[in-house]
Amino acid sequence: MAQFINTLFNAVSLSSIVLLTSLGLAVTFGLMRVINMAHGEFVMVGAYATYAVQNLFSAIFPKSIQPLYYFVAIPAAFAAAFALGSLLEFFIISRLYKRVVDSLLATWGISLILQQAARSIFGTQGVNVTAPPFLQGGIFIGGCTFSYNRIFIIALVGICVLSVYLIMYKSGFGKQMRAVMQNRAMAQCMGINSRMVDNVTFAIGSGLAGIAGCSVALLGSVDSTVGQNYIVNAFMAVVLGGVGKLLGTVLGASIIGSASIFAENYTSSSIAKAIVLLIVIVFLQKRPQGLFVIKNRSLDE
Amino acid sequence: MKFLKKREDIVCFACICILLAFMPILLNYGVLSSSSIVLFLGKCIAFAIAAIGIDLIWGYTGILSLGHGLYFALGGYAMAMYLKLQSTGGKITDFMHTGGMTSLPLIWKPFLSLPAAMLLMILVPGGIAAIVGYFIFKNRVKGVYFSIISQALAWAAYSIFIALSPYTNGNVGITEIKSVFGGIKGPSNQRNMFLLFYASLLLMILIFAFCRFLAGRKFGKILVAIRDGENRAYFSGYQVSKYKTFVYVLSAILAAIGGAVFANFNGSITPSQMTISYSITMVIWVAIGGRGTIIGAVIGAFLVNLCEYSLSSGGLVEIWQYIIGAVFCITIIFFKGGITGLVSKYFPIILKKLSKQDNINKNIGKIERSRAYEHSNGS
Repeated sequence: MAQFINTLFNAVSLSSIVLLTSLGLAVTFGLMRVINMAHGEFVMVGAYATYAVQNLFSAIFPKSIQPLYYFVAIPAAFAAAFALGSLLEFFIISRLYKRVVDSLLATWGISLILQQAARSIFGTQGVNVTAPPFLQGGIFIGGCTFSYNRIFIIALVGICVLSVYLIMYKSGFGKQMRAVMQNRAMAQCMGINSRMVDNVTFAIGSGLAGIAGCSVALLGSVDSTVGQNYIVNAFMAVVLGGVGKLLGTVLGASIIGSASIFAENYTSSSIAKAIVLLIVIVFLQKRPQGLFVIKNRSLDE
Repeated sequence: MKFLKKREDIVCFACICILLAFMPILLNYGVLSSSSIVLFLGKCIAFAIAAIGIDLIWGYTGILSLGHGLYFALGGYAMAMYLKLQSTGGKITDFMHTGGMTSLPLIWKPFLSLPAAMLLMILVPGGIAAIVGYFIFKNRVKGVYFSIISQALAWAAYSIFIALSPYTNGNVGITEIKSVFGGIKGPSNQRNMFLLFYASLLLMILIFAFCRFLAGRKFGKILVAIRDGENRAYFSGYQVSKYKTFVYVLSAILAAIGGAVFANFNGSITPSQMTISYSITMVIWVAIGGRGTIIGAVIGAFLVNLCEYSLSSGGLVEIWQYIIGAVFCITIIFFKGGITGLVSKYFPIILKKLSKQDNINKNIGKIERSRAYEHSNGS
């Protein structure tokens, strides 16, 4: 029983990390249909922002309030990735909205530049973020360990999903956003500034990647390729869930995360992840559009 | 002039080949100081072969695969496994010892003989591509969805290769191998190196000729039709998915051949050739060289790699990544045709300027003729 609960907790934990990295993609890819290959690098930017804020705090503030750096780091990571995403959209993506495959390649060029920039600034060696004391350790209940930072990440994901949901479906801006994505010409006729909506939507997606980076920094050392480890799973989660549905992404991420953990019981973790990906690929043959399909009668998407 | 215009790519390719063919001779007479440049050009030949495959599937058919590194590495591993067994004399390798094996595993057995290894080098990547391609294209997975799936495939294969380290030597890969013609490093083995170099050059010429032949026929036109309007191609009665699968398999085989040649020149093969970033690097060559023309892929593979080689040896490794990222980005956004696109757009203009006088004379003739035509109509 204890073992089962442990596995379940790990599954939820891994799913939440996959979900956090794919949430930004659910916005940029799901809504805007832009494949942002630099998404992993935005995760990296968030992680390095966390590291920078930590160093800043230990340089300026007295020891007593240093642990609070993490609460500054989350908005800082979001802001850094948000700004970078906004710039990227303005200079590059906006020229490629009609050429999806080309936007994929162009953003890959950006990701090469960002990776090298990270190496130039922070060095090729990985840097470490020390989790604040209140996130170290964990609760022990009946032989199971629930580490605080995992619980924190799960909570963080919950907050992020909720706020994305509120922004997308309950706010005025979300209405504009969905209007532009569904029928750009009509939305423009209604007086919506579609360029602005595009820019902010993309930036929000990137900012979410920054928050993901903030939590990724807690889990291991940060180097220039940290984002690459998450990007494949994130894309598969969005595709599996069905492009354009928030609930689909949540479900897709949970399936990939928990399936990986359960498969790990039988084999090594890297093979488990590979097998899960292969199973998802086979599943996508059955339902190429993913779990949740937005009904559409047009021949070409 | 007309011949040059129509067959300019063949002329260009011939120039590249002649230049390449002279390199070993220059080395022999001491004009080139080190043999490393020839070895590197050999690797470039391997890259060019793989790039031609990428160009067929991406430039012509419009399917962007982000997982061709998988096929490249599979070809490379097949070659390297044979070569490794040659150097150990058919006994089990060190890493298998460490992995706790006492006899040669079954998968390694066929690689004892060269013909079987060559056959598997083509059959395994081709077979995998055929299975994957058949289902994916039959179910009409297209566009970016295909790209995402192909990158997931490469990533899955990469992690499996690393996890099965008793068979594949994990992260390190298969190292310390000679070429099919024996050792190629050092002055005493120069003959072997030249033999390998010319054999690879010949292979590249054959592949170029074959692909250009395919692309120039109706088959190539259908591929372009699929790229530009897939549904129209369906409605015109073509079985698009079969064409797509065929091109996918063909490009996988070309990537595998490229990988095998690469393993010969490089003396090792590692799983890093299987990664997504390596796969996209191949796409970068084609994009910069010019998609949709076979010659563009060859030019791109040589140019990008030679630039990287000369910059990296000068201690400018850091700058290189900025340059390639920026150049790639700019190429994608502004110059869809890459270098060949630019040349074919501006070369005729330059030619025209050179033969301006000639043209003016011709134009005067044309104008006079059309005037005469109008005149006769009017009256």
